[in-house]
Amino acid sequence: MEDREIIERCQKGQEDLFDLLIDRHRTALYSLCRKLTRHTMDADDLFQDTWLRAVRSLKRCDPQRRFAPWLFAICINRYRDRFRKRRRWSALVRPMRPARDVARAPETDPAAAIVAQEKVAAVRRALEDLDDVHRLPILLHYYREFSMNEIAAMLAIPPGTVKSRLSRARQALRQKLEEQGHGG
Amino acid sequence: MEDEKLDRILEAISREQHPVPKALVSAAKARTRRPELLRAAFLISLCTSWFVGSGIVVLLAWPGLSIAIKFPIASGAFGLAAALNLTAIAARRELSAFFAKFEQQAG
Repeated sequence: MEDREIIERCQKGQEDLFDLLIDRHRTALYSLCRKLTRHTMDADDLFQDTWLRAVRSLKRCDPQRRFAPWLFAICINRYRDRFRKRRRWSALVRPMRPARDVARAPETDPAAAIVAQEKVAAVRRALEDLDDVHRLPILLHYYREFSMNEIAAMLAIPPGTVKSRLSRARQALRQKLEEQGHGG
Repeated sequence: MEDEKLDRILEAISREQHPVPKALVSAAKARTRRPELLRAAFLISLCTSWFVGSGIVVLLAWPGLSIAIKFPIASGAFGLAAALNLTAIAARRELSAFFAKFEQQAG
């Protein structure tokens, strides 16, 4: 059953089917929550809060459009409302650990692998240091699942602004990497 | 760092998948069903306390209005107890989700 059909049925009163949407999108949403909050407990709260908001406003969801961007937009709005001000302090208390080895480069030479891991860690640090205005477009753009228009709708800004923020974010990342000695 | 390499790393970081704890999913599913439950529990508690309270007053008033006047606190307390009981049922559902999450964090 496609998302569109599930949403239509939920809107007609079959609320139990909403569990299917949770099962289908839980990993993607939770991963976004972890990246946004950088903190496990905050991510858990944001995850639950997003689903609660989603089910409350499901009547307003357009089934003809993709569900994931709509859900991510709710998540980003909730994050902006609740977590952004606390982010710095949360990160100090319990910094987020990277996920399983997905971002690790597949190097066979141990020395090259260490260098590659250091570069990934450096980019991760630089990205963590970026402000949300520039970090969010990067995370959503490189997730490679959303069009520029969908990202713009999620962030409630024009597509042109997304592009300019992406460009500035890459520039800021490069600068930070150079400061860390990973410029070359 | 070359553009292509930076792009690859950013893509890998952005596409990282974090496994979702099962208890968290269960709690989310429970919470998404809760708005209706809470609303229903609140309405039931409101109606029940109203009807039970009114019923007690009527029953007491039946043999004679003087008895109802003598026991206004008892009839009010009965209605309040019914309301509290139903509110506790709603609160227990909140707590079950909280404990599911607590267990997941502890485990």
